[in-house]
Amino acid sequence: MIWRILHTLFVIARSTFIENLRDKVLYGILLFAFMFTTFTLFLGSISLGENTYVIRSLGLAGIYLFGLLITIFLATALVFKEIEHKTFYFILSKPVSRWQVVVGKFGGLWASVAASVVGMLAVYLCVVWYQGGGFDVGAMYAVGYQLLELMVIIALSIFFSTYARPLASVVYVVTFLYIGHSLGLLLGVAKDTPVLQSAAMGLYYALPNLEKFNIREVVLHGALPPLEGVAVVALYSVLYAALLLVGASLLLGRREL
Amino acid sequence: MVAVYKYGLYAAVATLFILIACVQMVSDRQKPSVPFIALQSLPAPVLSGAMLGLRSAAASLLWLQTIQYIGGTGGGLAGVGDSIERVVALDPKFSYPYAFAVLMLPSEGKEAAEQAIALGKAGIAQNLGDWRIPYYLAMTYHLTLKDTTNAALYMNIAANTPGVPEGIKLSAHNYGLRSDLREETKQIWVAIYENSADEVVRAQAQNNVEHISIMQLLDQAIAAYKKVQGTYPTNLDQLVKAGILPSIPTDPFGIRYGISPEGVLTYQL
Amino acid sequence: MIEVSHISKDIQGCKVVRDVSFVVRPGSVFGFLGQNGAGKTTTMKMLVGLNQPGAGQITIGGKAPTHRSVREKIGFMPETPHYYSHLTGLEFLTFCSALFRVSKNKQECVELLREVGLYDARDVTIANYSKGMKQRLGFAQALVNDPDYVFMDEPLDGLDPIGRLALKKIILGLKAKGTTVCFNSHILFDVEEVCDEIGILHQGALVYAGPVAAFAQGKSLEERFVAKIQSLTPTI
Repeated sequence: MIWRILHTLFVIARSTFIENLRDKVLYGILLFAFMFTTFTLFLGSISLGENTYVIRSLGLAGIYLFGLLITIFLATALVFKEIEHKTFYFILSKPVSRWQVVVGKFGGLWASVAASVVGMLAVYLCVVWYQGGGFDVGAMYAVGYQLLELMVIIALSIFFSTYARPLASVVYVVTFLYIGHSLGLLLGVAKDTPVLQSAAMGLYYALPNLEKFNIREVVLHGALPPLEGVAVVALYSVLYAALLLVGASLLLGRREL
Repeated sequence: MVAVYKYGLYAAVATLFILIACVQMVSDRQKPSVPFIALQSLPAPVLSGAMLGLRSAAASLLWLQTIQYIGGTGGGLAGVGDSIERVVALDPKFSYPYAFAVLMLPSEGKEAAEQAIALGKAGIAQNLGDWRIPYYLAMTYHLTLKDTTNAALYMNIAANTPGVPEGIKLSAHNYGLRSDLREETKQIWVAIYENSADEVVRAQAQNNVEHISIMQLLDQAIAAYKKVQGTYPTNLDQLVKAGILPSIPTDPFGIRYGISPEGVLTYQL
Repeated sequence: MIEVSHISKDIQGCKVVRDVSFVVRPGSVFGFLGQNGAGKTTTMKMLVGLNQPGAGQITIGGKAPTHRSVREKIGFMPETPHYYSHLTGLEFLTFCSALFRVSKNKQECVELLREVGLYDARDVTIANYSKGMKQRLGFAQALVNDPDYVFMDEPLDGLDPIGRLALKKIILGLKAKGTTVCFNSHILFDVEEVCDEIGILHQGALVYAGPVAAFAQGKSLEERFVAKIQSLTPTI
């Protein structure tokens, strides 16, 4: 039984992965990402001797932002398009549950985003090595954390796309992105007012705290996160993504096709 | 007819591009009607939030903008201190802006020098392992503020920073150690030793006291040799052979001593 | 056997299907007729378990359509199907097959595509398929699990006469094998050729269910259908 479920999830994920990787718009975004990463070489040359720092900081930022762009582009319309174009009809008439479609699509989408991000990382590593920065192990950690963050963002996008049109989903996801990176700031601002502080604490624990996945400053200055830290962050990502996917499955279950 | 239409369209595209470029040139010559909100004018937390937590990338961009501003004004540094404060607020571990500020800003006047010193101290507090910050800070104290006491302190920090070039290390170790200033500097280190609870600082102070004491001892031994022998020794082993010293003491910083023909103590690492 | 018992469905306050009951005998071909908006597609979606009836009950082989064992045995072809446009026809069919407990291998999928006339286009991406080719692909994915029950919504829509002939032959072949077939169609000539029994929906209600010959009474099915609908809707 469990094997059957895993097999179905894998089949759906695989077809989603192939479908996404053949999308020409994805290659357009990747091309711009590669151009940007190479452009950081020029920016490094005008930084008064701080080439490696500038190239690494902007390169990692580029991988993050283009990875987000790819994720939002692919994920926010995913479920909505399936319903609008009725591709759900033929898949859900087979022995497949709605939650299996949601999780399978999530898996395939994450795999295609991860493949794109790893491609960008490879170009970045070549640029840093060329600049004399050696093999940037820290960047591997930073991008690993980014992939954990993208799990949450993909799940969030799928959640919104079960009931909102693609443009609205994009707005919601971008809003949550900014909130997710500002929760610490919110706590700091609210700390002097007890009422606001309780509300801020509630939001801090309820909303996805995306700053947890941001270790770019740490690795840029030569440090690496401890293994137990990696495990905790990975667990946070898996649990939050699972929560959003359960929510998406519930919403999809109630939806008339 | 179809060909005329097609080429007409190509011509229209080319003409429009040229017109757009001309209009852009005209608009660039005009003064902007809306003041441009420079990157520097946004507070660091706002900028960090706007860039989705990509603080080091924001710091890099702000740093590049600062350099471009200096280049664009032909080396003018007005407002650069504030800009550098924002850079390091975004990424406190970005070391070069601290060093740059300490080296360059003091030439703009007293206020700028104070800002540079504050930045330098903030950089040292971050424990960045960048010898340039304390070294440039020492230079600023020495050259601009004529404060040799603080200059010596920061020279010492620079000398003990891992990765400092050998030449810098040597000159930093021996800053303020002209023979007439050695006792004064030694007393400063004794005071630091007696008044600090930090084990690392106390160990550092103890090493410096020992280092200065060895130099004073060697100076005295050379003077004693001259008095007895009538000439200066050609090397320090002669002080041991002459029975003036039991042995040549080992310097805590690994400095090896020699003697010039004029009888002046020399040093090398 | 497919048993539909007093099903109703409301969509946004509008009664789309009203107290519909009928039975489809095993191994027969049942055709659903009705004007646009009569409730045929809604009924079809409830039959395959995509939506739940607001009232009433549907059983296929004695179990609800949402039961996993039932879904292993049914095939569904939606109206104007859309697919994953970056997959090829063969990739899409193997994907569909892999969702079943017993799946076809690649060669068997190729043979199925040959049967529906898509052999030459098996490695072409679906984005480059014509409407008729997409209909054939829809047919193929509905048959990929060798189902006991096949449901099709406008299966002959968009096909040229040769294509329609080929697919009608496949439907008759399914019937000969004992497969129960249930489909919606506006092309009454084809329904008359292929179906054993028909059901006529009008404004959500089932106004006739039974043998084609008994309804036609010697006239063409189209003539009788139009007369029936006109008698129910005097304004037409």
